[in-house]
Amino acid sequence: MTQTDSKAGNPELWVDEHGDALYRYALSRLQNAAAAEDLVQETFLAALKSGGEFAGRSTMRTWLIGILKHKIIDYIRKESRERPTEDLATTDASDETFFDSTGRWRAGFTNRQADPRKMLEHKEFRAMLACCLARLPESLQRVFVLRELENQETEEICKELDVSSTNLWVMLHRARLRLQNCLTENWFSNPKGKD
Amino acid sequence: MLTCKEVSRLVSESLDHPLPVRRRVAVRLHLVMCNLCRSYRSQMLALRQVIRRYADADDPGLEGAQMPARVLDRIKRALQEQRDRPGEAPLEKP
Repeated sequence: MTQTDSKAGNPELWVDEHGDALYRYALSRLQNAAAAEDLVQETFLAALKSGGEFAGRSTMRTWLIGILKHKIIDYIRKESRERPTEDLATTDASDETFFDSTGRWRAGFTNRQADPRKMLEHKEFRAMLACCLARLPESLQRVFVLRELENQETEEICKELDVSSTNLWVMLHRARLRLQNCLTENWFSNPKGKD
Repeated sequence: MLTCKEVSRLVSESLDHPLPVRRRVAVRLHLVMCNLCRSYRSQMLALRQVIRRYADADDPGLEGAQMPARVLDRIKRALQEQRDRPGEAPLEKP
């Protein structure tokens, strides 16, 4: 199967060539297999509908990922509108997990932290990270995915999710702290992480 | 003098927007003296780097999930149907 075949209107071949990559892309951002499957399907259908539009502007993969990216951002925006969660910028209690009442780090919190770069070398890491992302409260997950995985600017995210920039910064901070903490916990409970 | 809690928030914010100069100076001053916050800062930078790699669907270094076969079939059928539907099919390329 060649790129030419797929471009010449063999959309079933697109699915074989790019299905897994698109699925991984969606799954890493949504932590929800059913939603990821649906968005990948919509992406292929949209690609088919737009027919020859691709016409060598970029690689097939980049073109499809570009369509999927929009679908994911739409999905997150819609979810946040339809299923608003509590305002974690103001009500989250996780600060006490990390800091004592004088604002100092709780004993041993940062110096026992694992270096994510070392974790990356282990093949279980991707699953570990996915699991930690999935454990974030939904509202933190959404802002974190848009900011760190989709690399959107904070102004864009504020507009899309209708939050103030101050709230967004607080939420991103909480997401990062929790994620780092979760990764560390998983890492040290995994025998391979102990070296 | 900023507390670690404030510094951790500002370090995170500095990943999202440039801090005002006075804030930046205060954070730096704290970091010089506080190794816990220095270590936190380097973890946050590492986390960003690692997440960016994780975000790349084509990253060859990481094994990834595969689309279940039944979903692949479902998508292929949907594509087939859309193509066969009169009026919905894209124009043949000239």
